[in-house]
Amino acid sequence: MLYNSFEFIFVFLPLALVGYFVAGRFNGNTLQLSWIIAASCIFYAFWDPIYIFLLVGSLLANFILGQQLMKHRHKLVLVAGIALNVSLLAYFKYRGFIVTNFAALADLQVEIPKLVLPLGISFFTFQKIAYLVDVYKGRVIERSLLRYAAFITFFPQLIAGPIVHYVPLMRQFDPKRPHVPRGTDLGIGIMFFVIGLAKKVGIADNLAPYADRLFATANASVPLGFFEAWLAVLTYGFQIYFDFSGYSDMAIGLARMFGIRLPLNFDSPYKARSIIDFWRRWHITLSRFLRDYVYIPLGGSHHGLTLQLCALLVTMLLGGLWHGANWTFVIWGGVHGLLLAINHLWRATALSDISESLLGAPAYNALCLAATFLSVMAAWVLFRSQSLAAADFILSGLIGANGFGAALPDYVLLHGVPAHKLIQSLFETQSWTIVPITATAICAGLLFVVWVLPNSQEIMSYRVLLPVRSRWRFARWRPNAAWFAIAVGLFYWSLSCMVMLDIRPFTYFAF
Amino acid sequence: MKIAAAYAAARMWSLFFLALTLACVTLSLLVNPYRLLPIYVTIPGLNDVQPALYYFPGPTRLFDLANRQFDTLIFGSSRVVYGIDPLSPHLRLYGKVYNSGLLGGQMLEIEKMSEHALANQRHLRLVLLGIDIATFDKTQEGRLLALNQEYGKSSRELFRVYGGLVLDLRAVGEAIVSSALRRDARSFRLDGLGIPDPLAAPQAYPEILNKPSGPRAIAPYARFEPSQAMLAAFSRMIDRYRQRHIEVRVFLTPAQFHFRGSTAERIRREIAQVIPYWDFDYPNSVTDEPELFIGAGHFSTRVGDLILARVLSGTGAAVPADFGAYVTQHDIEQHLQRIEERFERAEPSTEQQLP
Repeated sequence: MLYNSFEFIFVFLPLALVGYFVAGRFNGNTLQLSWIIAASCIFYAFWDPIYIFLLVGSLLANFILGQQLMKHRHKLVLVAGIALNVSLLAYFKYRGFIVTNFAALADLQVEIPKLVLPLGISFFTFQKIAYLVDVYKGRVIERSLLRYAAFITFFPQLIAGPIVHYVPLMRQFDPKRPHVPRGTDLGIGIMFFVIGLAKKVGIADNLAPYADRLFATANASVPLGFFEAWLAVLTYGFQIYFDFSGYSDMAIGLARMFGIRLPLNFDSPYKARSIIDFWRRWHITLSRFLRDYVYIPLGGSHHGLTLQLCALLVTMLLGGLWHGANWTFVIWGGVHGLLLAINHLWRATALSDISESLLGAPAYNALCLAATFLSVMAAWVLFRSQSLAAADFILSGLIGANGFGAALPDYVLLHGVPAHKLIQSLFETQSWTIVPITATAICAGLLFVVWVLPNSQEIMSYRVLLPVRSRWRFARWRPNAAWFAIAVGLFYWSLSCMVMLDIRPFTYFAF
Repeated sequence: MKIAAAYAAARMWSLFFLALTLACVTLSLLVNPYRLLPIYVTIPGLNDVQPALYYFPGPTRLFDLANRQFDTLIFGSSRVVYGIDPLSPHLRLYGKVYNSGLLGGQMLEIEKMSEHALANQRHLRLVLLGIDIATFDKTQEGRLLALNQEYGKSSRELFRVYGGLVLDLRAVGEAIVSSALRRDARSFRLDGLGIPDPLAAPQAYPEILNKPSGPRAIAPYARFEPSQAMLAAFSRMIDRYRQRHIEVRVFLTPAQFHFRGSTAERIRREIAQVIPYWDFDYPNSVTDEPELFIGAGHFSTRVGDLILARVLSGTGAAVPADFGAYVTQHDIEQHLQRIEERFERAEPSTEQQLP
């Protein structure tokens, strides 16, 4: 089930919430947990009932392994647990990729039937691994299957994170104090959800047709012109950001309605002034997972710069591969690894002292912001393209190597378009006759949004995992008439977008 | 004290939001602007006039096909919508009849609509397919109005896609305003043609009968190429009905202007290769009577009844002898020759406007 679907918003969510609080009133925490597990299983099974067996099976296996670890704390059990989880992920997600590449190396023809990737497997696999490590390190001592099942299946974070650890999440389900509906939780939850919904269906889904069409053109081996290439990159860069940060806001909002605080996943990543800064702001819980479970075990920053850079590169290559079974994702991770390495090298040199002294200068800050933003945007080309050849068609277009003309036949650039048509096109989101005008205007507006305006947590003054730094005190959410009007306006605008546009799944559902 | 007040304010804020949402949802369900909900109650002054049905009829018809059962389905373009009456006496023997014609319907859309019908209709016996040469217009390939290729076919899938229409507040508002002010929803159509209920007889405004608009109606079809994708869709669609042993009768619809020339000939040949069909799209004694047509491009239900008589009863029907020719792959060339002679004899002005 998608958060941005009518059956979720108007049927599933109200029933889940009402049942949860009623259960808490009658039977306390146990019934509440049982209810949330049942609701989460229905939520998951709505996509494909078969895969509920996979979810429950791997949940039970991990619970048993966790119990063994609590008893004996053998490293072998931990390794076996991690291997089990990674094998499942590898089977469903990387089987085809691995076999195809081996077959290509051995010059063999192999036909591999395609498997449907179980929804959220990349996320709940990481969560289970984090649980086993936490048990091994003695951070988790609870032996309740019910609580463990609630930890894994809690539907606001089941499909695409945020990736959470057992203790911070489950200590909020206090066995002695079942959750009761609270005005602040509901208010903050609703506002977060509405902001996320507007980001997803109002912005990301409106941009998706542009990005889809331009990338599809490149995938069909048609080189994109300069303007088209930039439009492809910007529209996709904004689409993926508003899609995933919209999802994360919705997840945080949903959990908050149930009285649970999930960690933040985004902190205005396009405001980052370096690649290091970007990865502290983009998909924060994944970055932390990779840091804690890959980068630091590989040595981290404690064994000299060379080893640190190698660890960084390996971590980012794995991070890229986690996003999808394709070389484009691996190379995307590798590019980010290289950019991070360059950033660390810069910091290690004397030049960094000069740059530190310039930090307050607006021009220098703008330069850093622009350089980071452009690097990230260029890297998205690899992330979104289906092949390296397609990525090359767009990347070469970005530097004007394919000329300035249009690859798409119905893609009319500015020349000879009357003014009233230009204005009209601003209101026709999918008008392909003068599409660059619409999309360029949207992109310019979105640059303002991502660079200048406060983000969701700044608006909501939300602090979990991150201190909220906001100069936007006047823009903070308050339970007053103005914010009521904003919430209602955003909600019904989002609903009308859901009526008029195709309902699209979240981009990260595929990872 | 301050904190307690803030909590109370937050509680009120949330309750107001939830109450407003609940009110909007209840109102939407009550007004039911697209009639997508199975239980439908007409409340005068609230939802007895529903403009949404007229300006967005595709999903309405699709949802009907997924949720209700019919014995006979009529597919086609706006000509079928305006001209074929599902309550016609000629269709009395064919059970419950539903007109699922689409405005501007092209073959890919018709095929998609037909797939939904095949997936959901259990008692379907007869399909009438009223097409014209422009149904295969290549320039219309990218347009799939309300029928996206990716949509599922079951009722649940459809509701997931179109369920939002139940909560389309714009449509709800228009229904309430129109009902309260007693506006006629059909007047929303600029050309004065009402889009009828798929189960009821079409009604054209009398003032636009007898007034062929000629070149204006022909202009969109002045230049077009046949679409291979649409011809393939037509063939696929017929094959699927054959596999299910459902009878299909195809006819080329008449109008005040005709499709002539190499493009039209090629399409006629392709149709005949797939299935024998009835051709009404050439100058004949019925098309010579402007009062039987609505503008230049659409025919009235009087012509529709003649078509149904011919298509359902064959040559024995009581209709003008020159109205309708049964064409098979064996006699298509003779047919083309015969209608070419008729074109030659027809008004030169009509000929010059043909593609």
